[in-house]
Amino acid sequence: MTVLRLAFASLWNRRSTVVLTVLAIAMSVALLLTVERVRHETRNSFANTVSGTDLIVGARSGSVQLLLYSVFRIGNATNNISWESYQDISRHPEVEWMLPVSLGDSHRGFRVMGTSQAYFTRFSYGRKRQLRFTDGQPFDDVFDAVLGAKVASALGYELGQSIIMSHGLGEGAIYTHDGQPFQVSGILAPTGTPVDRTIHVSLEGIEAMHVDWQQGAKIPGKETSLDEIRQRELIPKAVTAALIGLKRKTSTFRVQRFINEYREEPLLAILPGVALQELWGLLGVAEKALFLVSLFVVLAGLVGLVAVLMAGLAERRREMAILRSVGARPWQVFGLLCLESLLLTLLAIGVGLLLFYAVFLLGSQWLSSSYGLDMTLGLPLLREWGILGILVLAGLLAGVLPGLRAYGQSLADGMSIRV
Amino acid sequence: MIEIEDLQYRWPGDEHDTLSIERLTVESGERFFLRGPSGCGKSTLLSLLGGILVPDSGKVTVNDKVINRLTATQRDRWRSDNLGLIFQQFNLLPFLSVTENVLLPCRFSKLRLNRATSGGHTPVEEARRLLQALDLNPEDFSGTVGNLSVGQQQRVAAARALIGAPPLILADEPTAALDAETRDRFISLLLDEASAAGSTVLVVSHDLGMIPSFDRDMDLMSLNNNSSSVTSGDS
Ligand SMILES: Nc1ncnc2c1ncn2[C@@H]1O[C@H](COP(=O)(O)OP(=O)(O)OP(=O)(O)O)[C@@H](O)[C@H]1O
Ligand SMILES: [Mg+2]
Repeated sequence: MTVLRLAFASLWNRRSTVVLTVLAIAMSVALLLTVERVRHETRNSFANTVSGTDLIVGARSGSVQLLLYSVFRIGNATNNISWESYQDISRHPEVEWMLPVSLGDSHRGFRVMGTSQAYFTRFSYGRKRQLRFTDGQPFDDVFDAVLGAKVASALGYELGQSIIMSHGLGEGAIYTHDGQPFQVSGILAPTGTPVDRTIHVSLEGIEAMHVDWQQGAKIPGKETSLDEIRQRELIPKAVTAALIGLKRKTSTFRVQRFINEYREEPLLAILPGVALQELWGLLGVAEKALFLVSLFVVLAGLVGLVAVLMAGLAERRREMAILRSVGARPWQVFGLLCLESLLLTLLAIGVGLLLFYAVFLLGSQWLSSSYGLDMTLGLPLLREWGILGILVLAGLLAGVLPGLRAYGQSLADGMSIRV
Repeated sequence: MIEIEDLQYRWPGDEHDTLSIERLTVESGERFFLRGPSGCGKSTLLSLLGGILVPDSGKVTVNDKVINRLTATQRDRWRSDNLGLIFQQFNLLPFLSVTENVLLPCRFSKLRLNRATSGGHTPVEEARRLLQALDLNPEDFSGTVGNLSVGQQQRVAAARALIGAPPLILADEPTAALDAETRDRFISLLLDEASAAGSTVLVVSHDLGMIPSFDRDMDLMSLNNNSSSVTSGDS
């Protein structure tokens, strides 16, 4: 108790010299916590992009590639699934539902995805969460479109807005389907998944866009009227990928084998969970490196703390001798240094937490709007508590070296104070 | 109170014994003055008496306890219970208040805390009483240590050595930083309070001016039989 009070008083007396060290450690702690939290949230939102889907089917390629374009809308499919195969698979007795995914067009940088109406009731993400409409309803007409939350907010679109799709992807897409404007029929609630950045239309809509097209180029001078298009029977020739829900989980591998060995064309079926993990394993290296770097920053802060305590010892030799002369045992002198280090670390962790929450409050808005990463403000997570616990321990350990030095000094000096 | 027999001590690395004392006795309650030139080993002797250093051979008995036979831990405990110490200068911890400085020994020794409060008052009251007895004003010791003059600081150090009435008070050149007038006042206040508490006082110094205040004085040079003689001397 006495030693604790001494540690407090002594530190307070040297506050101008220790405050920078504390700040340095606090900043490194905030950095570590931020990295850890972003890491955690990224992984979570990543694992939550798709749930309830048992298999993802696409043309035969890599499983990660299939996952990337079918779920994350990143990259392109090299091949499609023919409509016949799609229908054949959907008739498999174990298949409960099958959602088509037809990609290839975009609108102002956002991808357009053709799918079925069932998508809005069957697709789920996170912990079995269903898509919800904040406005309007699923597409009904051929030229209806349903916007993801981010699309609507970024472009400021509302129900009834007329939009023109571009052929191809990205802002640079030059060919537009200006003959077939779509109408916004619904807007989805935010999900924190790529759904937010997607424009959903019916498969018929995708076909409708391309009535006057042949082999990726518009047939010059051909302008089929919208009503004429509506009259037609719009049957797709192919889809890019498909999401499958099975009647029983136990049949997953059987259906997967059935698709992978499908005779009519080379197909690939993947388990989304496994593929997500595989993909995370690839991204995880960067994430681990980031964590390691911030860990080293904290370590550097602690080494700085040791240095400051060691440097202080020379001028505190008298202080130690006085303490010894009034009855402090050498281990109490040792304990004093350890306590000082511990107190400084605790203070730094406290300030670091405050900094972390400040960064969090300022940054979560930005992270959510630009990366769709929704951070939840709350108490530190279990793992973060673990990290903080280890830091406290490290702070205590950081006091050991100066403590031993002081211990040795106070033994050697005895009561003679030499300055 | 103090018995030294056939004591020998050599600082590690030195070629000669720093101290070689056949016999030294100080009676209980005595006010003893030990003089000697700089470097003759006065501080070393005090460290031996305080159980900070252990003699290479011989026996150091203080208050009927052979302290060089105690373990390091026992000596630490014994020291905090039985010893009041005053140094030449900078005796106080600058980050503690004056009263807290005085109370330090009570924080490390239960015995001294009990003795300090045996009169029925709190430790703080006892500290204040001692400070006042040593001629310090309440406004002096309500502030921080840094605002005190050197003479006042030494009196605070004396109050700290006296609190809890330790049997033995050792002072290593306590007046070196004081002028003659303050010195005399300091010594008389210290000795009076020590007598009141029943503590034996041993002061070492090369300043001979205060000898009249003491019961007995002795030259360490004549006591010390070490083969090397100190080259510089002012006695
Ligand atoms: N910590 C130490 N380590 C090694 N040698 C020491 C140490 N302290 C003192 N000595 C040596 O012991 C001898 C006596 O020193 P000491 O400090 O006891 O003398 P002193 O009489 O107190 O001198 P002064 O009046 O200057 O304080 C000196 O030669 C000194 O060099
Ligand atoms: Mg000395």
